[in-house]
Formats: sequence, C-alpha cells, structure tokens
Amino acid sequence: MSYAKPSDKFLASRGISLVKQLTVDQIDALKELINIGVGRAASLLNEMVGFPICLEIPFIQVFTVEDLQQELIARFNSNYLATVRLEFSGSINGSAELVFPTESASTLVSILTGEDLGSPDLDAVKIGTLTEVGNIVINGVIGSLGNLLKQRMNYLIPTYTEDTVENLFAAVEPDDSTIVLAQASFTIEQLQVIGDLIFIFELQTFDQLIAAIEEVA
Amino acid sequence: MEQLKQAQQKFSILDQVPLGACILRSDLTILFWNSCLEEWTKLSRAEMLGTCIGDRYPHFRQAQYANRLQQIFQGGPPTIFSSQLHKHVIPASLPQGQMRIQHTTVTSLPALEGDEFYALLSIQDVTDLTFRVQEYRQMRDRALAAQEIAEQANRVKDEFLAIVSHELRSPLNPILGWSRLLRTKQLDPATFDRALDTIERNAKLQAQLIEDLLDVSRILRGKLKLNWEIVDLANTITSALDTVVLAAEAKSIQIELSLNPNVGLVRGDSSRLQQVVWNLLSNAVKFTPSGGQIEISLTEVGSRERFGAGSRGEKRAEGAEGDKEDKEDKEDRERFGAGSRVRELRERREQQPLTVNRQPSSRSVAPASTVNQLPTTNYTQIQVIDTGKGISADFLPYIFEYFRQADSSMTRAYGGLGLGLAIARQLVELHGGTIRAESHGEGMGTTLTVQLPIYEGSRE
Repeated sequence: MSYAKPSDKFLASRGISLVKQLTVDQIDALKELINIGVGRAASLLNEMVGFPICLEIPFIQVFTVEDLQQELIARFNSNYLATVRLEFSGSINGSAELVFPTESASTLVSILTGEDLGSPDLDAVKIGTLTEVGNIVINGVIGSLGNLLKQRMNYLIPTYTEDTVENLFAAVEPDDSTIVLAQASFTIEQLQVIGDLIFIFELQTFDQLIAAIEEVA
Repeated sequence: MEQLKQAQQKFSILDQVPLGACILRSDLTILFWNSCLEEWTKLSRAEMLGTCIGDRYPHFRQAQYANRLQQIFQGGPPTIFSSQLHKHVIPASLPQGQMRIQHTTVTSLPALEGDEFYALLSIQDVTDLTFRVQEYRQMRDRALAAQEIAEQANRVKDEFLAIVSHELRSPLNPILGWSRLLRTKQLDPATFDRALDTIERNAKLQAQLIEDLLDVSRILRGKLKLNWEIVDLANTITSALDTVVLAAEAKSIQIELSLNPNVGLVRGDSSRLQQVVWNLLSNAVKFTPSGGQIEISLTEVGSRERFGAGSRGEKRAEGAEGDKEDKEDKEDRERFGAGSRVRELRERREQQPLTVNRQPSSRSVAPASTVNQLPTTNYTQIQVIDTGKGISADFLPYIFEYFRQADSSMTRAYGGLGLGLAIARQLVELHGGTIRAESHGEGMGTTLTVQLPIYEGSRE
C-alpha cells in the first residue's frame, strides 16, 4: 500500500487550498523538526523489537480541518481509521494524532509482536500495542517541539480511538485550528506500513510555533 | 526520609485504586508502592520504599526503559508500556503460578520539591483480558474455518444440483425429438432404426446416471450391500472392456490389454468390481482425445510394492475389520471350497483365458485350517493408463471426491456427473483395496491404479 503525494492539481480539483502559505524554509524547518522526533521514535522502536525499522516523513502539508477531512475522505473513503491521540496544552495547545487505516495498523502490530497476521482486526490486546507504538512516535515529535519551545507543556493520557474520518475530527473547532499533516511511513524489511501523523494546533499557537521555527530556521 | 514521609501522605489516595501504582524519583528510588502492588508482588512497602527499583528489577536500567523514563523525569508526555511488548514491567505471579500480564502507563508528576518530575507507573492487570482475547481469536478462527468448509460444501452441492439437472435433461432431448418424429410414421426403415437406437442409447445413459446417483446415496447412507464371492479380475476386466469398446472405437482410441494369467483371485462382489473397472475405463475413454491410447494391465504385486502409508482404505482393510474379514473369509472358504475352486479357475483360464464361470463351485470343501494362516499380503493390481488430458496437480487430491470434476465448465465439455471415480474409490475401499491416481499434469495422461488384496485361500 502506498500513497503518492497529492499534487496541487489534485487538491485544487477538490477545492482544497492550503490555509497558510508557508515559505519553503519554514516548511523545511518544520519537516526537519518532525523528522528529528520521528528518528528518535524509530531508534526506540528498533531497540524494543530488535530489528531495523525505518520511519520516514516523506512530506508535510498544512490544512484547515475541513480540508483535512476532505483529504482523508479522498484517501480512505469512509473507512474506519485507528488513531492514537495525545492532547497537550501550554504555550501551544492542540493535539497530535497518529492515524492508520485499521488494516495497516493491525499489520504493524503483528510485525512488531512477531505474531501471525491472523485476522486483520484489532482487539483489546493489539490496541494496547498500537497505542504504545503511536505513543512512541508522537512523543518523539512532541518531545522535539517541547525542546524547541523551551516551555513546560501539560499532557493528557494518550487515547486510542477507532472511527470514521468525519467523527474523528468532529470535535475540533474548525475556525481556530490549523492542521499539519505529515505522512509517516514505516518500512520494515520489505513491508511498508503507512500511517498519517496529524498534528492539530490552534491557530494562535500555530503562529507561535512558526515564530519559534523562524528562530531556528 | 522526609521526602518518603511526605510522599506517603501526598499519594496515599493511590492505595484506593485497583491498579498497581508506583512512584519513582529520577534516580529510580521508589517513593511510593501502593497496596495493590504489595499484594501482587508480596513485597511490602517497608521493604521497597527508599530502595532503587533498578536493583531489584535490572530491566529498568536497560535503554528501552531508561530512555523513555528519562523523558518522563523531564516532564515529557506520558509513556505506555503495552502488554504485548512488555509483559511484566513489575513481575508479579498469580496464585496459579503464571505471571500477571501488565499494561503500564507512566505519567510525570511535579516533584514535591524543586522543579524536577517523578514518574508515576499505573499498572493494569490484563492477564484475564489477554487470555480471553486469545480464546476468542481461536474460537473465531475455528468458526471461520468451519464456515468456510460449510460454504464450500454448499457451493459444491449447488453446482452439483445444476449439473445433475443438466445431465438428466440432456438425454431427454433426443428421446423426445425422435419420439415426435416416430409419431409422424413417415420415417424410412433406416431412420426408424436410428431413431430407436438413439432413444435406447439415451434412455440407457439416463438409467446409468440414475444408477450412479442411487449408488452414491447408498454409499453415503452406508446401505451398499456387497455379494461376496470369489472373483477373477481378468474376467471382470474383459467384461467391462466389452462395454466401452464401441465408445473407444468411435474415437479411434487404441486399447491395449495385458493380463497376467497367474494373478490370484480376489474376494468381492463381481458386478461391483466390474463397475469399478468400467468407471476407470470409461473415464479414460472420455478424457482421451481421438487417436489416443489406453493400456489396461492386470498384475500381482507383493506387499512391499504397495502404496506408501496413508493410502486411503489401507488401514481399514488391515485394521479393525481384519478379524471380521478373517471370519467372513473362513465362512466363504467353507461355502466355496476355495482350494479346488482356484485350480478349476486356473485350468479354465489357461484354456480359455477370458471367460470364467462365475458360479460358486459346489465341490467338496478343503480343510479351512490349512489355508490363510497369514494375513493378506499380496495384491492384484489393475492399472489403466491413458494418453488423455491428464490431471493438474491442484486437482489431483480431489479427484476421488463426490461431485468433482476439475471445474464446472469441464462438465459441459465432457458430460457426466463426476461421480465415477468417487464411486470407484468407495467400492475399492469396501473391498479392502486402494485406488490411486497419478498424472504428470495436464495433457500428460493419467494412470489409475487399483490394488485389491488377493484372496489367499486361492493359493492352495
């Protein structure tokens, strides 16, 4: 399974426009920030499962909630998605989610635990594992954000949810939020599992984030 | 020590939760050990407080734990140690001996003093959940497998119904057509004869189909009765051959017959054995293209040359029913006077190799005690080798199952219900024999081999 990066033409044909035109430098800085976190997560996962896992973020994009919903619906239809979400507050407010189509989530869990693939559904035990994996990836990225902002943040306990795209983002206030969508791909030997790493920031704090990025960029 | 006391007051509420709870300082000193953990580990808080958790459980110093705890001690986001990837974060055994399977969430707490952070481990016992999930998965997998088999059986049945209807209707068309023409009474004698021939042939064909269906029904209900007698398979083969010669000639198929005249006799139902041979032969004729060749041979093989273990029917013939068969053998020997009967048959065969009197001899009985001391070890082997369409390796395992032809389109091309070989197998097995099919693949021809135990009484 692989997703190509949606072209601008594709996005335009669906009425999707990027909410904020970030400069190339800003995007690069953001991408690097996320990649550092993801790299840290990958080395943690390597240690845990004892074989090489490659975690990559091929591209990132910035969306509004509505645009993101359309983008995700276009990608996954109305299928169920498995998500691990971490909500945070402090100098920036928002949440980070790692989103998987349920099937690739299950594949990932089976590979990490060395179990037979068996059935492609998720049960309570598998969900625990997926929550840990999501937690590691998100923590890696959030950790590098925290370092960047140099301010104490508050976190809620990570939660696992399985739902359709519409419901997953129904609670997010559309007007106040900016979404950074980063596509994460796990490569384990020959097998590719792809998830979307989605960060939801409130608009103000996104500006703050950009300001912080500007400092380092 | 003051810090420990404070921690006991401040975190005492953790004794009220049904989770294992433990609070660590950044140097891995245990500051709190709740009553749930005391109960699970049988380690009291008096023993644990103030000690380093890394001393008791060294894995806390391993990178995969230490790195993640370090983030917590810096006030980072919560960390999860799931049950599949970290079964026993704080090892604790259950009364039955197995270890509690744990799901652990670690959150950071502001320290009582200064601006550092503690790590709070909340440990959920998911032993029961894990086993229930495993059980559920196994049950579901079994149910899915059973359902798959049932659905497959259903599909085969549906397909079979369609085939049966088609096959039963096909002969009716020429019968009805020619009957209508006969009614016109305007046919010349030659056409008249042809009409009657066609009607007869198709009626016979349909009767045969129905007979096969009834056989299957009898076999499936265990109602098939065999009339046991001593049978000369050479005779069986030639009789069966007579009935397919015309069909073979029509396709210019050359049939080569090779009968070893010294093959021992078998005990069985001669008409059923003839049916077996007929099924093999008509199958060969059906699936061999015009101008092809069919070889039929009758030989004798010793037990060592038999099929390998696992051949269908073998165990049954030599196992549980052995005693019963021995008894029946004895009765038959007494009835038929086996020894002299064989000589008679041998002599006849030598004079007139292919016709044998089927009636049991009423001559005097040879003493039963002198025959058949050893279990049946030699077999007569009938082999039918054709140069026909062959069988693909995928289908080979199924050819002796009911209602199976390689696919339903084949039924249309070749006709028939796909019952012949299934019936043949059942009949051969009822005789304590085995049947085997070999093919090097499609277009490479097929070899069908039947082995039947020689009636040892015939050796005397």
